Amino acid sequence: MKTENIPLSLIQPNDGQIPGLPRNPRSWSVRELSRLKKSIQETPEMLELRPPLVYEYEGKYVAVGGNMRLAVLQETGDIQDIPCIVIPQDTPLRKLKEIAIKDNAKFGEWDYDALADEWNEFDLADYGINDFSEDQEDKPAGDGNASPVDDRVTIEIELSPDEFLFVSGKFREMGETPEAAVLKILNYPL
Amino acid sequence: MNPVKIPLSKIRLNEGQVDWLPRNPRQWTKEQLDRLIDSIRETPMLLEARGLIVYPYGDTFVVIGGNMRLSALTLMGEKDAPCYVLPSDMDREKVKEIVLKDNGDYGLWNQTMLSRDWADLPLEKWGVESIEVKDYSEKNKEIHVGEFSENITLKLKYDAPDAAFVSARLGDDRRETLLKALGYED
Repeated sequence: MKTENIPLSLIQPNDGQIPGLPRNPRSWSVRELSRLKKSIQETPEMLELRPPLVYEYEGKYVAVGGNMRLAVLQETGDIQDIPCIVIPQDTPLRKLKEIAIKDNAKFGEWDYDALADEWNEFDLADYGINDFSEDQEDKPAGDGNASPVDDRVTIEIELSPDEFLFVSGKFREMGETPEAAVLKILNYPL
Repeated sequence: MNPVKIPLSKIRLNEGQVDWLPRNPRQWTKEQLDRLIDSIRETPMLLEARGLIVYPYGDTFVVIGGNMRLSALTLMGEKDAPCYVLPSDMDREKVKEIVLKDNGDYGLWNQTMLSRDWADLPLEKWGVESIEVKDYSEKNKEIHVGEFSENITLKLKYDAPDAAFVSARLGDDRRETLLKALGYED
């Protein structure tokens, strides 16, 4: 498979026009769209490294992977041709479906400690990284010299994967952060 | 840009060996890695389309995007991987941005469409969340994958007085106390 430059006018979003391939199951808000737009403007190299995946259909190309990026580019309208990977015409429908899903699937997960310790120069929300900080109550108070982050103590509890799954499920049911949930469970005097 | 095949023996995980580049901020369990291996075997075309992104470092290449896939390919006994090689004079901030952006997620799964039109696929196995409930515990999680065992550390961060309270209440066997308090049955 080779990357080719294809006129943007020939590329269509996957609206379910190919029989047997359901329409792209992704949604986005205006805010997310503008974040992605900013990201593309800042790092246009990503478009070369991760070109949309398209499939030729009735003289046009349907985006199997990269529908949101195309929405951004079509909105800004300042690019004529974009690099795309053309999926071979003889690819079975089942494979097209696999690609549509897997191109957005995440097999691993963020290491939030590493992000906080070593990648904190970046505003993670701008990078499409789920940021939990807006839900945290512990913003610096604004006076004094001590940093609240530095004063914090970490309590570690080793769990098996099954136990962790159980515990995090309970926290989710409670609708609390793990810190708040544990305080509650242990009957913290309010 | 088109990817080139590079022998796995020349490719290194990003473990922080490049002085200006922090280590890869991603983690995974053995089970997640096994799922990725299954997925690569099932859809090799996607690996071709989404080659690893690497940066030249001495006579090797450090992975900028695709550390987990490198781990998977190594376990699968593959000899090489399709790679996009970044220019060695690329702006360092840009290289870092690519690490984050290659895993960033801007949109969301449309749950209605997934359950209506895509339910014939093993979505969960592919890392597609069936319900997007905010899971706060994600940020408290640290995975350790050892040779024989795999554990997850739950990290709780408190101000000193709260930490003292929690620590005292949890006692010597923190795990046991926590599980009991939540009603866990083995």
